[in-house]
Amino acid sequence: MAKISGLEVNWMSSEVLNNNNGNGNGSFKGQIWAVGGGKGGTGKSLIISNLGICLSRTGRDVLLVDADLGGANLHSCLGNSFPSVTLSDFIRKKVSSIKDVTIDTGIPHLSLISGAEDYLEVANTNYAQKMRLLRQITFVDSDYILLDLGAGTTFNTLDFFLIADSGIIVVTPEPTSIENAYRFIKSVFYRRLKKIVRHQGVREIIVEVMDRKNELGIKTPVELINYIGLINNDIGQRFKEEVLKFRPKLIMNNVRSRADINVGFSIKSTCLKYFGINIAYVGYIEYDESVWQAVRRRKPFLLEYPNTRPAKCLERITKNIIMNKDIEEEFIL
Amino acid sequence: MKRIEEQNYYEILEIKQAASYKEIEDAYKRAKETYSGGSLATYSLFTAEECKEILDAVEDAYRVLSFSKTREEYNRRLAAGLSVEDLKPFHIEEPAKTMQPIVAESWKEIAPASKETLQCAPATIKTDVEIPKAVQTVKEAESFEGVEFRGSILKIIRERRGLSLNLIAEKTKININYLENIEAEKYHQLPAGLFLKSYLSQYARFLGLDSKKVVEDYMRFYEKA
Repeated sequence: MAKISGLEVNWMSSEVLNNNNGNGNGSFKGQIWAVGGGKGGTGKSLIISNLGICLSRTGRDVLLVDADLGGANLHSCLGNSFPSVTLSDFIRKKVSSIKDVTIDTGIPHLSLISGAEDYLEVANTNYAQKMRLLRQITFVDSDYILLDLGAGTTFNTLDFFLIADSGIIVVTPEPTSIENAYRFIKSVFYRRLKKIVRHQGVREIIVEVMDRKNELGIKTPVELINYIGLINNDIGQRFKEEVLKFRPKLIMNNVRSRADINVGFSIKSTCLKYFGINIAYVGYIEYDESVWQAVRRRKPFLLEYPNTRPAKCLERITKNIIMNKDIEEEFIL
Repeated sequence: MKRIEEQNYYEILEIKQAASYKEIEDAYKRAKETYSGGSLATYSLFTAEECKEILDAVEDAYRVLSFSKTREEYNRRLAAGLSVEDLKPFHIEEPAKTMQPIVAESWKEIAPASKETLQCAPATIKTDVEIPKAVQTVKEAESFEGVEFRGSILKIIRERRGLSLNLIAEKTKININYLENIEAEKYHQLPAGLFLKSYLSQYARFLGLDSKKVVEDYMRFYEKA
């Protein structure tokens, strides 16, 4: 099992290191996958729960974490009833270990930490709580941890996305969804850059450039990195390495035509030209009635309709993420 | 991490240097689709002018890389770090010019009188009637004067032009079984009239024939049967 590169980088980064009281060195050697993306309703929870089922079928232990605090519903995607213990019990320190809030889903090798809770404060976890959660995650005894981050671009969401080995963005072929996905990528990207430098001048430039109408005339992140390279060669070099390492994964959901599938390729190209980020387009899921029928029955569609095209699409996506590959032209149905 | 004007042609098309010609074609097609305007993926990040700039670069890259002669020269200069400014794209030939001439005395001669003669291979016919280019539909229609376009005739015209059924099916998106049945005059296995007319007219246009006449003739045979 590969080491969690994302985590390791982050444990070394200044912010985490300062707050690491020696607790963050658990034995977790698995992989963390996180699903995020700007817009709500694109199918993030549905996809991650079914990705979890797909992974668990290979005999690996999978832990699903519903980190969509304030909008958690993974338990329903899996057909579980309202959970008795949730992540908020851990955040509010009702229990000391994250293991105490893990529940069985009834699916072999698949367990869940639910986020469902009426306690509203939990949706706005503070910095210390977040760090405690990040540290505790390394003690989880599982091969995979799958995080459902929900919509939006809050710092919590971005930070969880960044610690993941595979950060997965779900979009549907609609203008609103794609716009929000770009905003999400942009936020994650700048947050990552900001985290690795302490140079005040460079940080200010990054903040400045996040506004497209900046006075420096820098339009794209690609130009920003070139510009910073001119000011400070070392930082410029580090940024370039970061950009190469940063490969979020893209899933197109609800595709109805070949043109919809191609939108994914267009997004990949646009991200490369605009951000300089080489996104991995890991696959698409076809629109199908069976999916919402399964959702209505509160059953994972992979179990309810294992022979449908969306189920096959999902299996292929899981495989591509594991193998770290892009979608292959020949396999497009 | 370079601006588009600093990227080499491979980077612009987002392909490896060892990319096959098919990969180049695919990359070009995708780039056109992405940056030609109206794509969901671009409008919120790139302005129309920026898209145009990318598209121009893509066009240049494609025109040089899609021909072995210019591509080799480009690779050589790239490796040596030489300028590629003066590298002119290879001249793109018009594909329609290389059609085979149809050899026939007159169309009546090769039109089989009955279904039986269809079974035999068409006899070799001597004189040559130059087939005009596909675009010159009107002139072409004239040279087919007195010909009644039934399935067997259409098949002969198609084959003389060196066009496969597969190709026509691919280009017109008509099911290959229908095309085959049209030519074989299996009238009872053809789709309903309206669809048949539409298929016939597309098929005729693809062969560079007068589609109206083809539909009229064919439907006469169809109704008789």
